[in-house]
Amino acid sequence: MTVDFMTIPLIAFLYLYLLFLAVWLIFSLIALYHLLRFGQVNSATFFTAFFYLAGSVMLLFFSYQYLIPIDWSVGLTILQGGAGVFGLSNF
Amino acid sequence: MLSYNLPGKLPGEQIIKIIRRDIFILAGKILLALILLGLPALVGALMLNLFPNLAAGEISYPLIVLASSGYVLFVWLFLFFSFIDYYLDVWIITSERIIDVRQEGFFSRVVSELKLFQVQDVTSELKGVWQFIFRFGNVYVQTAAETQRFMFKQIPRPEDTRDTIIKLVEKKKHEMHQGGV
Repeated sequence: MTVDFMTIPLIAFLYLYLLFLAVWLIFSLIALYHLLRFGQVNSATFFTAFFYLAGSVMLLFFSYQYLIPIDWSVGLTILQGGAGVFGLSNF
Repeated sequence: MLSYNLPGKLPGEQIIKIIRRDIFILAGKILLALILLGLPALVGALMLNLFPNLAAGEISYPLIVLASSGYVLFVWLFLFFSFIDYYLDVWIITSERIIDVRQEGFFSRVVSELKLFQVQDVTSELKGVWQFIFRFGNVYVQTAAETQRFMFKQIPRPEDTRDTIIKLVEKKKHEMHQGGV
């Protein structure tokens, strides 16, 4: 009996994530532009912009810390009728 | 002194009041963002408790990290944009006119205005339990034109805003009569 399988490189998911990140970045810049261009000229506007930027940098930094030790060379093998999605034999 | 970049500022025009929706509306959006963050975190913690190997898998771990990071960034942007939607939706009452500025989504911004001397009728409205308890509601400003009706939506203390507009309109009309206009 032959077993059909397909392997998706894990790095493909990273590229998808980076694509999402690019879109997220564009929308963030548009939102910041709106806030600074059309917002009231006061400290609340600038504090909010700063708070968002600081939070974003923190989230991106933590994501980077979690992502950096990952070996992206492995592949996700999907067996026909099987469940190798989690890369675990005892799942 | 109130500061705002007034669109097409008139000579001698003074800002009387800058009004946004009630803070209760923003609090609702923040609560929604917290639920959006909290519920998946709860489900995730439950899954990891039931299947501890998920966090150790060479495939599952990266997928969980990528999905979590993407989701948290999405909610963070949603929260930020909810604030912008609240913050940039503004009604400005000046000594000459009422300006309605609305941010609609990411790519739409509507600015409209009416002159104080055009105002015919001002109505305030508190509708429902929440609005009655937290004292926020709507103010409708009717002009001479049949269809034109300005609405200040979900603003705090609508009666005060109605009184302010009525006083300003009376003052403006009185000035115009005295000036012989």
